[in-house]
Amino acid sequence: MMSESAIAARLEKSVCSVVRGQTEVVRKVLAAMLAGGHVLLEDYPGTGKTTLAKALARSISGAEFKRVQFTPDLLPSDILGVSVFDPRGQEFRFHPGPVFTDILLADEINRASPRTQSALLESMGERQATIDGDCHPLDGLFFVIATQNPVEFRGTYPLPEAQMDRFMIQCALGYVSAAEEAEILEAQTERHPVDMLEPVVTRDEVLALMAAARRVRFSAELRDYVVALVAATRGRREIQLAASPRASLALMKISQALALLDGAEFVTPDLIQRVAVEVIAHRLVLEPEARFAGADPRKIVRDIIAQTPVPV
Amino acid sequence: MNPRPPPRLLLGAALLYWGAATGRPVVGLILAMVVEAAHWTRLRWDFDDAAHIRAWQISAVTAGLALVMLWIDDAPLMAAPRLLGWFPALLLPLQFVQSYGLRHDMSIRVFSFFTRKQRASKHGYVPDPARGKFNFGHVYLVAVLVAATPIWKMPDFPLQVPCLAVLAAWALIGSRRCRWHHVAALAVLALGIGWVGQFGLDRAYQWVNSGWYRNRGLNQHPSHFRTMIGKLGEIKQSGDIVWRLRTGAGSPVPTHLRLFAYNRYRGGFWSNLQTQDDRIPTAPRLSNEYRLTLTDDFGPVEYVENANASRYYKLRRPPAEAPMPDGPVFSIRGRVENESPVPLPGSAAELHGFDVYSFEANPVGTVVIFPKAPVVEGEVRWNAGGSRESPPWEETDLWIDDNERPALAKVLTDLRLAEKSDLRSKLAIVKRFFDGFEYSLYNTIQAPRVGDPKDNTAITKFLTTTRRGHCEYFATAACLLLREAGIPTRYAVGYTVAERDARRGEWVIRGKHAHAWTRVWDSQSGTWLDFDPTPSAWMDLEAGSGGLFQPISDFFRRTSEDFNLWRAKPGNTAIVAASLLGLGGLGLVFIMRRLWRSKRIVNGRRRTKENDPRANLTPLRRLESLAEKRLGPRGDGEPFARWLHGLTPLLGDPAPLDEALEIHQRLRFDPVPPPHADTGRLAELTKLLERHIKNAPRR
Repeated sequence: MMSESAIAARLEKSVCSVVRGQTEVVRKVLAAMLAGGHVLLEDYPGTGKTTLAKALARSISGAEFKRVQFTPDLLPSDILGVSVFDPRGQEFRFHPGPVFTDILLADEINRASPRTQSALLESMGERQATIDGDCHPLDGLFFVIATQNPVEFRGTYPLPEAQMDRFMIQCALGYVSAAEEAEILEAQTERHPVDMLEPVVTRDEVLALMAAARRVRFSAELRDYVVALVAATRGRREIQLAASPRASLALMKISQALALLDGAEFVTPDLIQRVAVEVIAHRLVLEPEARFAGADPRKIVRDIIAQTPVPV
Repeated sequence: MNPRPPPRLLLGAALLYWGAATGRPVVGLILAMVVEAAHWTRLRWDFDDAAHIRAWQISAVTAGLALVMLWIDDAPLMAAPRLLGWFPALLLPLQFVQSYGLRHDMSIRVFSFFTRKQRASKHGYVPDPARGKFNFGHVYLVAVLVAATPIWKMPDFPLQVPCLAVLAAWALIGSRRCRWHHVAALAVLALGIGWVGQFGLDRAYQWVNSGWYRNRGLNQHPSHFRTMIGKLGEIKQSGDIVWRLRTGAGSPVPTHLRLFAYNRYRGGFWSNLQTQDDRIPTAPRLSNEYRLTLTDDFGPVEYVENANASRYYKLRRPPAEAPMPDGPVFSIRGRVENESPVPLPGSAAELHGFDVYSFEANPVGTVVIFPKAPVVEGEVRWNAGGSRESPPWEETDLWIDDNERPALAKVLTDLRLAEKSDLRSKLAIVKRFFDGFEYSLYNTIQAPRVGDPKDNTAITKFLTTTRRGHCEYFATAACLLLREAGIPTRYAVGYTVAERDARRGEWVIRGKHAHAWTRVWDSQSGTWLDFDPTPSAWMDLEAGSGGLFQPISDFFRRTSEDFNLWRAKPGNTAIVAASLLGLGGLGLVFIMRRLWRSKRIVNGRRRTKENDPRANLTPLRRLESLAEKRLGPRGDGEPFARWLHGLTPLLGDPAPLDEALEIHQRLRFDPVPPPHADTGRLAELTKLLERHIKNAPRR
C-alpha cells in the first residue's frame, strides 16, 4: 500500500507542477481517474482545463491523449470511428475514432448535439463502443475529461441527465490567486512547462493504482452513511430528479481513491464529505420553481451534508 | 432558530415558578413533572409532522374553548389576559410532543395552515426545508414566563421579577458556552434589573388599580364624580345593555335608578361628604390616597331573616315599627364586579333573592354589591315607605361655592321662588324655568380660566348666557338653585328607565340612558324626592343612535348573562361540570389510548447492541462535553475529528490530539483494524488531552 501511495504522490506532484494552485481539484480529478470514473469540468475558458488533461497524459508513460473539440456539426462517427469500405480488400475496415484512447479531453461538450453527446454514453458507462453492431472494448485506462463553459447559452445543448449521471464528479478549477497567476506567467516565459513534462509513472502502474483504490477499506457504517446522504436527495420538494444509486457507488469509489491519494488505508467520514458535493450536485435536477427561486444544487447538497448525522 | 432543547430542569423550574406566582402550585407541579419526566423515562413516541400538527390543533381548540368560557365568565376585555395565564397548560400538548418525541425539532410550518396548504400543492415551493426548524421548548419557556407575569393584578408572589430574571438568565446561559464569572455578573445584573422591575411593576399596579382600572369606563366613584361641566366636546355614550328590568303585570316601573349620590359641588366636580371638611381639594383632582380613604362611610346593609322564610336586605330607615305598605316589585339583572353600584330607585326598600355576600350602602343612598357570581339577578321592593338615606346635613346639603352665588341669587330673584311656600310649586317653577333651556350633548361652555377671578363659572354661564347643555348642567344648576332657596338637595347619578322591549317583556337600560338629576328634601314628609330638571326632550335625542352592530352586541350580552345565571343555579352547576368533565375526560381517554398504542420504549441496552453508534464508543468521546464548552455544540453533519481539530489552537502541542484522532478513526472506521491501534493508548491520550484542555487559557 505504501508503494502505491508513493506512486500516486509522484503522479500528483507531476501534474501539480504544471497546474498551479489547484491542488484540491487535481487530487479530486486524479481520484476520479483512479476510481475509474470521468470528470466534467465546468469552467471559464483559459483556466487550465486542457493543461490539466495534457499534464495528466504526459505524466503517464505510454498513455495516449486525444482531444475532441465539440462543435454543433460533430457527428457520433467523429468520436467513435467509422467503418470504411476498402476496395482493395473488398471489405469494411474500421477506423477507430478518438474515443479509443487513454485520456480523452472532450472540450466544450455542450456545443455538440445531444445525439453526439450520447455517443459517448456507452463508452463512458461500459468502457466499450458499439459501431455498426460490432462491440469494441475500450482500454482499461479510459478516462474522459469533459469541459463546458458555464456562461454561454447560445448554441449550446445542455447535457442530458443520463449523460450527467455518467460523470463521476463535476468540478471547477476556478481562477487562481494573483501570486499563483504570476508564477504561471513566469513558468511559461520561454515555453510551456507541460511540454517539458517527463512521464513519472507507467500505464501499468496507474492500472495497479486503480486496483489498489478498490482495496481501500470501507466500513459498513460508512456505507450506510453514503446511502443516507444520497437518499436524502430523494423526497425533497425542490428536487425533481434525485441522485441514483450510481451516485452512491461513485461516492464510495472516489472516497476510496481519495483515501489512497491521502495515503490512508481506510475511508473516514471526512473524505466522503470532501467529495460529496462534486459527486452528487450535478446529478440533481431541480424543480423549475426552485431554480427560479435561486436554489443551487451545490448548496442543497451542502445542507444535506450538514443535516445528515455523521458517524462519530 | 435553535434546534437544541433548553437546559435540563429549566422548564420544570419555570413551571414551578409559574405555579407559585399564579397561585396554582399543584398544576405547576404536575406540568413540571410531565415535562421533566421525559429526561428520566425511556418512554418515547415517533411523532412526525402530522403529530405536531395534531398537537397544535388540540392546543388551539382548547384555547378557543377556554377563551369562550372565560369570556362568558368575565368581561370580554379580561378574557384574553386570563387566557394568557393558562398558556403553560394549553401548550402542554405541543411540549409533550417535543419532549417525548424522537425528533428534537419542530417545523414552523406546523403552525401555519397556509404554508401547509402551499406545501401540499404541486407548485408550492418551499426554498429550504431546513429553515424554520426550532425546538418548541424555547417557545414553551417564553410562554410559561409570560403567563407567570399577570399584568392585571397585584403579584402575590413577592419574588416575581427576580425569579423571572434568574430563569431568563439561566435560559440564556444554558444556550451559550459556560463561563462562571460571566454567570455571576449576569446573575447580579439580572437581580438588579429584577428588583427595579419589581418596584416598577408595583408602582404600575398601584397606579392602574387606583384610577383607571377601578373606575373603568365610568370615571366615577362613590366619593367623587367628575362631570363634563366646563369641558368642551361632544358627549358619546355606549349603546350596550347594562341592566335589564322586569316587572309583574300591571306593576309600575321606576323612572330613575340611582347609582351614586353626592352633596358637594365645586368646579365641575361632585363629591360626597358628611360634614363641612377642609379635606375637599380645591383643584378637581384627587390624590390616590385621598380617593381610597373617602369610601369609609359605607356600612353593611341589614340582612333580615324572618321566620316566615322571607329573607332580604333591608334598605328602609329608620327601622319600621309599624307595618310598612307593600310596595311594587321589579326584578333586575346585570353584570357586576365587586363593589359595583346597584341601580336602585331612591325609594328602594328591600332587596330579595340576590346571590351575594353582602350589600353595603352609604348615608347618601349609594348601594354597592359584593356578588358571588359575575352576573346577578334579584328583586327590588320600592315605594314602600322609608329610605336608607340620611336626612339632610345643613352644612353640606345646603353648601354653595361662593363664586356660584351671584348668578344663582339673580336667577332666584327673577323666578320669585320665595313667594311660594309649597315645595311642589317651587319645583314646578324651577322645572318650567329649565324647560326654556335647550338640551344638547355638544358642550360649548368652557370652565373659567385659571387665575381669572372675573371669568364666570360654567354654571353661571349656563344659567345666564348659553342656556344650553346636557343633564349634568341641569341637575347641578337645579341643585344649587334650590339650595340657594334654602331647600337641601343632593345630586344623583344613574339611569333612566326608558326603553321597553315589548317582545321579551322587559325594560332595557343601556349605557346611553345614563342620567343625572336632583334629590330634593321634602321637610313635610321627611323624605327625599327625585326631581329631574332636564327637559324631557332629552330622551329623543339619545334614542336615535343605535348602530348597525347593536342587535348583535345585545344578543351576545343577553346570551352571556342568561347563560351565566343559568349556570350559577345549584343544579346546573353540577350539569355543566359533569358535561365538561365528561367531554374532556373522553377526549383525554381517546388521546391516551392512541398514545399508549403507539408508544415506544427506548431501551438503552438493546439500542447499544444494534444501531446506536455509541455502541462503538472510543475513549475519545469523553472529551465531547469538555470540547463543547470550548467549541460550541457539534453539528449533526460535522465529523467528530474535524470538530475536535478546532481544539488545536488551545493545545500547545498538537501531536497528542492528532495521534488520538488517528487511533479513534482507525478504531471506528477501519473494518480490519491492525493490532497496534489499541484502546489503552487512546484512553491515556484522552486523559492527557482532558488535562490540557482544562488548563488551557480561555479565549
